[in-house]
Amino acid sequence: MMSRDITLTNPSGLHARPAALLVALAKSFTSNVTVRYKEKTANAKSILSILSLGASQGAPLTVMAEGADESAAIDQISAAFSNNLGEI
Amino acid sequence: MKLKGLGVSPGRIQAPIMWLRKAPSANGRETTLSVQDFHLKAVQTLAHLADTASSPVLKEILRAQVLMVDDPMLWDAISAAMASGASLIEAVQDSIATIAQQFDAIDDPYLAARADDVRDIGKHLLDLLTTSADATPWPAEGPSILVSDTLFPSDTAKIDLSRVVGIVLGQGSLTSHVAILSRSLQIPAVIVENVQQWLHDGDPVMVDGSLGTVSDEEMSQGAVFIPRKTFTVHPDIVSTKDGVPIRIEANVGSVQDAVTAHELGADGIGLLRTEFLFAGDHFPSEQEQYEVLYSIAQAAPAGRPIIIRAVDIGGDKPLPYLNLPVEPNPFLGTRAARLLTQYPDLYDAQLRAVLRLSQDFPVQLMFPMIATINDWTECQNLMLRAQSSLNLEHCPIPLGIMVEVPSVVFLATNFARVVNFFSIGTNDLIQYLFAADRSVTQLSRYYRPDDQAVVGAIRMTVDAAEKAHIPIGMCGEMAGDVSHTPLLVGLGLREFSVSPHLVPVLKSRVSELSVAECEAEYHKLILGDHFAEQTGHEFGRFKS
Repeated sequence: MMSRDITLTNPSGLHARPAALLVALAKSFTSNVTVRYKEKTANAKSILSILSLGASQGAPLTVMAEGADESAAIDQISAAFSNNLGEI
Repeated sequence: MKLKGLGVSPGRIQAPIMWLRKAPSANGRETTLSVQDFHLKAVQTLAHLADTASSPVLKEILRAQVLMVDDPMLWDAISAAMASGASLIEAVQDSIATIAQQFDAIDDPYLAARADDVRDIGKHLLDLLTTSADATPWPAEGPSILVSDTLFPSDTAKIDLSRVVGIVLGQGSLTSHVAILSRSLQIPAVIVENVQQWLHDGDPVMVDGSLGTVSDEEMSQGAVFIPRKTFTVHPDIVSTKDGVPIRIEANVGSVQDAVTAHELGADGIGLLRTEFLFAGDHFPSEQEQYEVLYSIAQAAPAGRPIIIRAVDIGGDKPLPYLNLPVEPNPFLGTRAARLLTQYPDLYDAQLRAVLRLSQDFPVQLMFPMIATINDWTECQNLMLRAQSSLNLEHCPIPLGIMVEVPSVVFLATNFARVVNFFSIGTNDLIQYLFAADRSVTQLSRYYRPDDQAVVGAIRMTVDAAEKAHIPIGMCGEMAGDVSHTPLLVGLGLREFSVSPHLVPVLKSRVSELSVAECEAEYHKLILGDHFAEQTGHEFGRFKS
C-alpha cells in the first residue's frame, strides 16, 4: 500500500467535472484507489463516493493505492491533482 | 383556453397534442432480471442517450449520469439491501434515498444539488424496472406536442424525438434536464399547471415557449405546424446593424441559472437575486452567503460583470427568524432597506460577503426599494461600516440602485450624481406608476409597459444617467419581451438583463435592429403616427 498527502488546488474543489476526471483516471488502474478527507474515505473509482466527500479548494487529501500498479497509480493521480484536475 | 406558465425553451409551434403514456408495470418483471443484467441495461440505456445527444452540454450531463448509474457505491448498496431480503425495486428505492440524503447534507450548495441528479438516476432505474420494454410510450404518427406531468432522460430515450415539435409539462424548472434538452434541440417548451384538465390527445394547440403560453385561441388557419425558429448562441456581445453594441445579461438566482446563463452566451449577470439565501430557517451567516454567492459567481460567464442585488425581504413573505410586521399593503410596506430601522444590521453580513467576493470576481452591488436620497445615504453608510470592518480604505466595487420607485425617476438627476449606476426594475416601477398590484389578476390591464407614462419615466432616468455619464441597464420582464426591444433601444438603453433562456432570443433580435430605426420607433410613440407619415419612416416592421 502506498499513500501520498496532497492539497486540492483546483478552484471548484471536487465538483462534477474534476471528479469525473479523477474517477476515469483511477479506473485505468487495477489497484484499489481511495481518497481520504477529514474522517471520510472515498473510493476513487466511484463518482458518488468522491462527490460526497464535499472537498473544496485547499482541502488536505490523502491518496492511497493498493495493488499491482499502485506506484504508477499514486504518481499519475498526484500529477493530475497538481494539474488542477483539468481546470484552469 | 389559454394557459400561462413558464417558458423554458423559446419558439412558437402549432400541432396536435399527444400525451406521454406511462406504460403499466410489468408484473413479476423484477424477478426475471438479475441485478447484473439490470446494471448493464441501465448503463447501456443511459450511455446510448449520451452518445446520441445532439448538444455538447447535454452530452456532458448525461455522461456524468452514466458514471453515476455505473457507480460501485450504488450497486454495493443495492446488493447489500437485497442480501437482507429486499426486492430489487425496494433495494433501488432505499439505496437512492440514502445516497441522495448524503448529498443533501453537504454544506457546498453545488454538491448538495447533486442530490437531484441522484434522484434522477433513481427514476431512470425504477422506470427500467417497472415499465414494459415493448410498449411505445409516445405513439405519435406525425409532428406533435408532447404532453406529460414529468419527463426524464430515461423517458426521452424511448421516444422518436424527431416527431416532437413542442413540449408541455406539468412539473419542472428552467434548469431541469428536459429544459436543457429542449433548448438544445430547439423545441419550444412550456411548464404549466393543470395539464390534465385542459390538454387532451389530438387537440391542436399553440405552444409559445417564449411567452410561456399554451392556447387554442390563436390558431393559424390550415397550418399543421409552424417550423420552429432557431436561435444561435452568441458568446460575444452583439451589435445592431448600424454597429452599436448592446449587452444582454442574465437574471439569476441559483448556481444552475448561472450555468445556463454561461451556456447561452450571457454578457454578464445583470441581476443576481439574493432572496433565496434568506429562505431557510435561520438568518444566513456571512460565510454561508459568501459560499453560495461564490459558487454562483464561479459558474457565471467568466470575467464578466456580476450585479448583486442586496436582499429585498419583508412585505409579502414572512420569515420564521425575523419578526416582520404584517401590513395591509406589503408592496408599499416595510421592505428591504426600510427594515433597517428595526434591524440595523440586516445588511452587514451580506455587504461583507459581497466585498470579500470582489477580491475574486468583478462584482457590483445595487440596493432595491430606494425612494429617497436619505435611503441611499443610509445604505452608503452601511457600506462604509462593512468596508472599515474589513480594513478597506475605499469601496472596491461600483454601488448602484434599482430605479423602481417613481420618486427616484423625478430625483434621477440628483441620484445620478451620487450613485455609480442605475438599473431600471420595470416590474415594480410599472405597478407603482399605475398603483396597481401586479399580483391581482383582475388589474392586469394596468400592466402597460409601452404606455407613455412608462416611456416618459424611462426617458427621464436615461437622460439623467447620460448627463452624469453613469451606466444604466434594465432588468424585469419588459427587458425580456422582444416586442419592446426597438422602443427600449430607441430610448437609449444599451444594457438588458433577462431570464437566461431569453439571452439568445434578445441577442438575435438586437442583431436585426438598427439604432436609427429604433429611435424613429420611439419618436413615433411619443409624437404619434402623424410624425411617422411626415418623416416617411417605415414603422410597420417593428410590430412583428
